[in-house]
Amino acid sequence: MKGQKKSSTNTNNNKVVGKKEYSKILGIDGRHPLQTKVPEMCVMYQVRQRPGAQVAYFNFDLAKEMGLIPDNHQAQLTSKLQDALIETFSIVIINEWDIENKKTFDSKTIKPNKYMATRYLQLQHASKAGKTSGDGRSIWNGHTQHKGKNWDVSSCGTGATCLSPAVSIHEKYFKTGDKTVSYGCGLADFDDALMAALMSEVLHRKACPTERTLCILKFKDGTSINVRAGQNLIRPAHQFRYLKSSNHSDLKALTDYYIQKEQNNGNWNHELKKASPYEELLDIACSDFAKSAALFEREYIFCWLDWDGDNILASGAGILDYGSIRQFGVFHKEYRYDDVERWSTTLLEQKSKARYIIQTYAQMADYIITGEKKHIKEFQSHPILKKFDDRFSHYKTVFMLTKIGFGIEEAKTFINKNIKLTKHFEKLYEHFERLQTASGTYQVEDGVSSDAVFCMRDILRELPKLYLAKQEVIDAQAFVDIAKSEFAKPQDLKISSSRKRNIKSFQSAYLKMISQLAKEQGQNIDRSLLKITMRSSLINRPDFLTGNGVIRVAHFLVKDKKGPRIKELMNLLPKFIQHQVEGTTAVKQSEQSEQSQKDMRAIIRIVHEHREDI
Amino acid sequence: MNIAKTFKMSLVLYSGGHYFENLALNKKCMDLSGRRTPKVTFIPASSDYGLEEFREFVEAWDKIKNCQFVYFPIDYQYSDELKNRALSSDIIFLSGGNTFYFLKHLKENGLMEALATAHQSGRVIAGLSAGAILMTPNINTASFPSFDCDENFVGIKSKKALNFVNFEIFPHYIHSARYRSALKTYSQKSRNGIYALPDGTGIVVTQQSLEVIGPSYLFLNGHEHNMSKVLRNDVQTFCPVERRRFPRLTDTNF
Repeated sequence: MKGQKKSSTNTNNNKVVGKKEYSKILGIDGRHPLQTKVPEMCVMYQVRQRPGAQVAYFNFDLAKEMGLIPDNHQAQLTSKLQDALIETFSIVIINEWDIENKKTFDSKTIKPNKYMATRYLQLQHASKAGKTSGDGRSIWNGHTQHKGKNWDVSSCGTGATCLSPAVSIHEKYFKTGDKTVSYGCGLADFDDALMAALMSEVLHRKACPTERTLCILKFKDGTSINVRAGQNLIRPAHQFRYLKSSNHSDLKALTDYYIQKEQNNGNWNHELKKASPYEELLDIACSDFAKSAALFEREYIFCWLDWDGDNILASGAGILDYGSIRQFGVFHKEYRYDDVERWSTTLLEQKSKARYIIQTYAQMADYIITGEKKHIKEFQSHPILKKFDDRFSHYKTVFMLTKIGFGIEEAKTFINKNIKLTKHFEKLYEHFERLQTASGTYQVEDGVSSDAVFCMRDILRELPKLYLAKQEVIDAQAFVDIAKSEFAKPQDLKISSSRKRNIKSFQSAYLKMISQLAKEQGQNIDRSLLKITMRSSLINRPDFLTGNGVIRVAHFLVKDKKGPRIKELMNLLPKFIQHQVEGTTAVKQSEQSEQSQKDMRAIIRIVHEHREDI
Repeated sequence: MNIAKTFKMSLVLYSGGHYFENLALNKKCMDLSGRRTPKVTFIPASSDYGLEEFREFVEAWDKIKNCQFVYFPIDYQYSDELKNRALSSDIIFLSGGNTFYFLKHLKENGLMEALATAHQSGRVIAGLSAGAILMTPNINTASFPSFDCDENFVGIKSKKALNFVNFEIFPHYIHSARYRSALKTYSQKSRNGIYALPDGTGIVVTQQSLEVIGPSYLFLNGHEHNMSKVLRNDVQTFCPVERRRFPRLTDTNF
């Protein structure tokens, strides 16, 4: 506590605080260019201040990147910064139910501008044409610019909109907070917000494209407002809605807006190679979706992709809406999320869904260019799909090499020169990676799953260390002992002659690749192994954060009596994120309080316990 | 009383500081290995931040001599194969960190015996801070003074350590009244002499000699002895490296 008081005083002395300092935060006030560019996609809501908010988390790094706070701002939540965040983001919409029921609110609490919920396609709505679907419990707070980059800001948990599935199912509006409809109540749970903040920031730091959490506001009833930011929060589902409904003018307006924004943000930093920007868009989307689908498969990221183009960002095919996002510790091949009326895709099915999204992009580009909407089936042999397959395969190999411990550029160069060797290894790698235990498919908390026999992270982490100590292949039993997952039973681990052969081939190909890498880089194989060891030890860390891991961590942070208090979260979360990405923590730092060290140790223990989980 | 045990030994005990601030000790380790390209196994006190330490370690050692490095974290499951390979290196380096945590995992994984075997077979065993304390009879010096000690968050009860030498060390020593007082009090209770070593200093023990690298203080029976003054050859008193034969550890020398 002494430390906190001292820091607060220092901040005041540095004159960092003050309303003017936070004018950029306060300037996020509901206005957004889409409201004039494509008004049809916006459902506008008057909003009012929601009382009782407490800032539980603020992403200082992201806020600096967005220019919301100065670069030299200390990572201290001063009372004035807290006030600015609450004033800007602690809002709730005055929705259709409020109006129908003639609810009145203190005019002083009502914000001057209206805020938008956006319409997009969602497969869970009965109308598959997007007539009723979109942001069900979110609104867009607005946008901001900094150093040539445009940022969109949206919040989850700001009230029940008319676009939630509950409204279309029950054909009536809902009061915000109505507990009879969970998702449709318009509010968000605090632990969900924490999970999203942790997972998204960890993935972002690992170069996975994603929206990020800017701020979490917590309320006494256990609900929260989760403020997210990204450079372009448009989803393919926004565009596909207009395609489905054959609304050419709005589709073109939205796509033009999207392209312009991507160009302004420097995401289209190459010269236009195609005659039409829509063809260029198709080509870029093809690359982005192939890359993300490959990353999801290699890194066991479960992201429910489907024909509607929801649950993913158009820009960079990044992750958004962390409700069902998971990262597995091992290859849980048959995991499916149970969404009551339908099952999600599995890890291996994500590729075909991403491919279908690209097919839809091809249909969309053609429609915009020709003005004539052709049937989606006419695009099933479109050349872009071959390109998608090639790029997917390329990136999957790249990401396998980076998982081994190659640098990204190193991996690309290596593949170009050694495609046969790399593909040979990849085949062996996938053989071990995808073997499932004899237990088969079984029910889990939110769906069904099956378990991998081997934990590839373990073998990829341990092998280079072993070869550094002695460049000799290890015997089959030692290999199995290292690589076996916690789910494998003795019958899964029998060493048959073919398994013995595969283990030998795996190691031989691995060593050949490292040896080839060393040769190409003009260095001793030990040096290459040393680099690989360092990278692999971090990438394939034994305390890897999985979906269930993050759920349990959030539970500990929010509900466990032994868990940290809300004030301590602000320090703890960035430390934990740093630990996951860089392998360093507050545990070592003597200036951290004993409680903080205890909390961090408890979190790491939880993460470790769930390291191979879904 | 012998300074250390009777079998062949090469021990290097670092107080602390960054690896590049311990060049003389680093070089000592390499020389003792007698290898042109020594193989060095780095054992971090914890895999958490261990990699960060390993990187710095490699960088500092690489500047002196071409070495082969092996990384061997021990606080999560590892294979016997890795243990066997890692402990056959020419130099085994125990890093700094929480002494209790480090000791717990060494004990739980049967590494105390394995390290003793490596030591007896003539491998160089080196340790920094916690790693150095672990080479002494016990880890008592990790638990005081109250204003600068490791937290026993793993609840370890026995503080018995590797016992490769029969003195104790107090790393990161700051020559101030409160540290001096704490060490004087402890030395009245301990049967062993306690070397208090500021960062960047250390002790090298071989079968024939004990060398103190840099200024150090010895606490014995409630008294503090400035080793720079005690040792006869004063020429190198202000040199960063002091190469001396070590006097017998009895009070009569002072």
